[in-house]
Amino acid sequence: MSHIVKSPPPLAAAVVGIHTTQQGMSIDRPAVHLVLDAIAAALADAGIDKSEVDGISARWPGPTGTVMLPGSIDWGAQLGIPLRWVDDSYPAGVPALMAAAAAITSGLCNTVVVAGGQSRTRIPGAVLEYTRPDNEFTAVFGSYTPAQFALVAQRYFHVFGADPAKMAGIAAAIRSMGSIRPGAALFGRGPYAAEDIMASPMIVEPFHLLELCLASEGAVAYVVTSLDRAKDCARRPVRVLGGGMEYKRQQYVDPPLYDEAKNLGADAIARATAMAGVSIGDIDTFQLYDANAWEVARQFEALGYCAEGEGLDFVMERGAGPEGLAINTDGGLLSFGHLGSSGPTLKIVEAVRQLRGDAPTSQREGAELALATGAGGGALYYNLAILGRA
Amino acid sequence: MGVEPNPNWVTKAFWEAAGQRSLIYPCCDRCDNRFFPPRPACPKCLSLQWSWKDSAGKGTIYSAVTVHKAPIPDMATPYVLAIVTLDEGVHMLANIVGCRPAAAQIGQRVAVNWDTCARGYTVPNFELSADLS
Repeated sequence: MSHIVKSPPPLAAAVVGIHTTQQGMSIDRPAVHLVLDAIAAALADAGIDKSEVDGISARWPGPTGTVMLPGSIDWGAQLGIPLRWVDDSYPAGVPALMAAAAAITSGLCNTVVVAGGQSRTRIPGAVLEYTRPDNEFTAVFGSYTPAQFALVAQRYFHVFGADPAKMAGIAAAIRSMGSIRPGAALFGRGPYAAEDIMASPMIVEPFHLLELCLASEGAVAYVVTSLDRAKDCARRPVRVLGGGMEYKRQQYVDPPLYDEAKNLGADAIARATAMAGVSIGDIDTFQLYDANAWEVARQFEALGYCAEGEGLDFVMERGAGPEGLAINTDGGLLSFGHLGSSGPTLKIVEAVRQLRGDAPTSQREGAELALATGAGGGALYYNLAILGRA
Repeated sequence: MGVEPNPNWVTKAFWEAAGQRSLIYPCCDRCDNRFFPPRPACPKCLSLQWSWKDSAGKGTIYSAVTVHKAPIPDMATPYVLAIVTLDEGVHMLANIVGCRPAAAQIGQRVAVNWDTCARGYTVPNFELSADLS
């Protein structure tokens, strides 16, 4: 699907190397080792030596190092390189990509590594600590991240009388793609039909277990550099064309109102498509933040692909697979993995795979433009990036 | 229900009032804006001068979900987590108690009730109410 670039996009940066380690539900190695593996492999993928890296966006997982921010400086010392730019974006994902691309475009630095990961996170009997923020008017009432998202979705189902089986259908389609993706945390778990999803335990209405994202372990890294340098890299570069970010309120502090959350993404997509010089109809593959399966539908509504209340129908009619909308082709956060603040970084990496044309499974034929997104409804913030073949 | 509150100088008065079974919310002295949760300044006009006002403790369920898996082990499930729109116009998270979970539906009227949780804090809960006003 060719597109006409109306004017040169202002960002002059490209992703040239990517890597995800084997993802899993429980990995008994230090997170810092996993992240080091990912960084080394992403640099090798790009054909770039670490001595060329002069910018890092990667929270330092410890042990040792500073107790102060930014932890990215600890990575400079660990990698044995001086740095010109560091950043501790939270979450990583789109905000880190945008910051890195802007830093490279402006000349603050030339080549940035973005990396992160987690391991040894499991706490017996409790959900992971970062999914239950200890905010005074939230935690007291037994709320936690899936519940915050559920409060938004529940209102939607009430207002529109939408069919929960279609939400299950979206989860089944995404998880089925994860079940065949090498390296996925839940590789081999599937395929699924909507009935299988709805037969899993109810966690927080309206979400069954299999409609909710993972909290898993592993690491991810990628390398961004200038368009000039990208020409001489080992792999086909993928250009950062545009982006947009929205922060309505601090997540998990205010009650998440559907009426406030429903349009998250509308402003960001307008800014990003204008920056990239493309229109929403040009996007070939969607790497969407699937905190839960309903959020996938909400995003198509907010981004302007269909009317409010029609998102579930839109996705089920077009299909989530590579011949349809090509949504979360790696299995997404539902099946491939979710790494806390670096979970959204997996969206960037899968977008790059699709645009290189070397996704090992569920490749969208001839994909030229990809959308990668982060967070949504229950989090009250949202961000997205448009990437394209250079 | 969940973990105990951890009040600070902005929120301390809320929990002290709750201890007296009184539900209060911030209201701006300058522009009359009502807001919740409490913040250091009015988010509309940025005035530092705001006061706590008494809520009648009545409201409507904006959204409600039944939680079957609690975030921490010592919470009994299922329980109902809701966003309640108080008649004074502010929204707050709360639990709906005293009914079957499925009975707590969006649009229903609720009235505040009180529950003593860990460390002696009293926490506002809501119960379904026949009151329509």
